[in-house]
Amino acid sequence: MMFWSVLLFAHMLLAVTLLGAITHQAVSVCWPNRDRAKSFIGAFRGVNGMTYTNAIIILFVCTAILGSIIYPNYRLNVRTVLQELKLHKPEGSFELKEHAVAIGAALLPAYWYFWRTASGDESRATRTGVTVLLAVIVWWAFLVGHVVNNIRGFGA
Amino acid sequence: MKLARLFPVFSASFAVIYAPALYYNWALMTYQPAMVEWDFGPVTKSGPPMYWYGIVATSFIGACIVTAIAALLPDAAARRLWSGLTWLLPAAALAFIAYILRPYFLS
Repeated sequence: MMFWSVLLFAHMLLAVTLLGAITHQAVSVCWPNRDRAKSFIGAFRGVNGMTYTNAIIILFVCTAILGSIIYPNYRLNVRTVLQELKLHKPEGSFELKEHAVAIGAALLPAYWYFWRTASGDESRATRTGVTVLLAVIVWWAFLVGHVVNNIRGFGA
Repeated sequence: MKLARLFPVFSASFAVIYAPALYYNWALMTYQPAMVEWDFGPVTKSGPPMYWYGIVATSFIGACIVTAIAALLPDAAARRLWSGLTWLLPAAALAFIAYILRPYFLS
């Protein structure tokens, strides 16, 4: 039990870091700002999104790998409880999360490709679309994981 | 950098293959967590079967095949494709998956 709790905790910490990084990058690409000094929001928007790319890819892959290791435990010990308690919405949300993460992981090569040459304007719209989709997937996965953990998580 | 040019093809085709693979359960293998066993193809035994790993494997292999075929296309033909499909197709696949999971949210 302790082993799985430690893995789950590491999974959560990586997810929090990933969430912060992808949110920063998504905001900076959707709502860019050159003048960083004026306000907190301006500084948040004004980061160089390109510098986040490799970190986001590594964090996404590490978080997904940890999640896929924990996943059988969820299937045996958590999902069965959700079904017994007829908590269909959290169960369905988790189903969607696992598929979204798989599609998100496959999106990473394209994400890297469009951020590789981020200076050009020709792929800006696509870069924005890919980044926002990845951010939506990460937010969904994080929120659903958090809710399911609250229902039956650490030490349960 | 020809290989990198194919990355968007891989990403989009993975999502396009993943959605029907999930719907029709084209899982390459099944993990039985209660018995700690792997089976080839979609198999149901005692305990809950896990098709997810198999569906990911099917989609990965399918996307690799599509990408290999795309590598044979001339650059001019590839450039004619709209790059926005890279995010639009995965987004559409996710919308389809949400649709097939709707019984969870309507019950």
